[in-house]
Amino acid sequence: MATAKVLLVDDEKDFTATLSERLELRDLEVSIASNGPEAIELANKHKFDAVILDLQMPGMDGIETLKILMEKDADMQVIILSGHATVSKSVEAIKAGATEFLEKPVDIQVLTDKIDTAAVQRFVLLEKRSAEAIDDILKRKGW
Amino acid sequence: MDSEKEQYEKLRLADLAFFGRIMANISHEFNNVITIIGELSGLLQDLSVLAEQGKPIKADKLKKVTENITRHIARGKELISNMNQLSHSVDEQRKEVKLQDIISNMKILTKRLLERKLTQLSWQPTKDDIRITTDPFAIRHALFACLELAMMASSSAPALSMRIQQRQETIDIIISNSNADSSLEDEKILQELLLSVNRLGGTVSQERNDKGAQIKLNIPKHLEISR
Repeated sequence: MATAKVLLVDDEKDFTATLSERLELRDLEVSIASNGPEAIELANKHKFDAVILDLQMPGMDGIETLKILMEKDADMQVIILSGHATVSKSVEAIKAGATEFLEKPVDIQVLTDKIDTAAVQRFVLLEKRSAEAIDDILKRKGW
Repeated sequence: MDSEKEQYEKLRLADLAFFGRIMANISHEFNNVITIIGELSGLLQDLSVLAEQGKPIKADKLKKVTENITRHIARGKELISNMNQLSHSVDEQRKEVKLQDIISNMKILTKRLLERKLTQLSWQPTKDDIRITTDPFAIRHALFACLELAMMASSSAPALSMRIQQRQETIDIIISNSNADSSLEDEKILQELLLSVNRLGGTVSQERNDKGAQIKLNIPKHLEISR
């Protein structure tokens, strides 16, 4: 598979700058957004294999951002990376479509493993959608 | 009318809720500091591994990373020091304090809460020290309630400013929101504010006009009795 594309969303600029550098050293392609609207704009323009999303951000919070991202792309693989890993927040995030819920600080190996899994999962889902679309076309044509 | 016991219970719960909110906010902020320091130290480890593989670390990179670590340690130290000031504000119910220190303390402790609501807070410190004898915890609680009320008067991006006016025997602390689109009406916070102001022997008033909303806290410079 090609280099995984990751969107990192967090309002702590030193955190995103440092974590993105570490992920890039591990051959991942990283884009950064410092708030929900920026993340949505980037996700509209580019395809990401995984989104790493903080929950507490100024203005639009992580759950709201997650819901909008999932509305636009139901196959989006969103990993929540939060300083506040409460059970209720985890449940809320998973219900809204998040694939993983990790607590800060996170071990880089754990995070990259989750990104790899998310990228594979997204690839499988996209393949499945393509196959379904082809099947649909063939059926409509009566082939 | 509530009995004295009921009033005391309401005050106790309101104080705990205030303390809890500040602590939750600061612990989150502190976790961010630890996380960033962790990532920066992780980056140094990554660079060390690369150096062992023959890719030397550039001196300016090393300098930048260590400077960032130092900066975030200072940020963490500031948070702990301010958290400590709040914790010790309950030690005495009547104490001489520098008003500017109290305001600065609350500004730091509420920074993230304000940022989350996209709130701007401007504060012009006065030239001279203003020393008052008051209840150090109750005045913090009252300031917090004023900030919350002022913030809630905006549906988006509150623009708050805080100033102090000295009178003969009293001090006015005025918090304005120039981007207010509703009144300062949250009943729970208003009640919390009144309880705190009562402990300070002061009064609170509010005003809503075409320039926004304003809360004025008037407290004595010298709190006479321990409450």
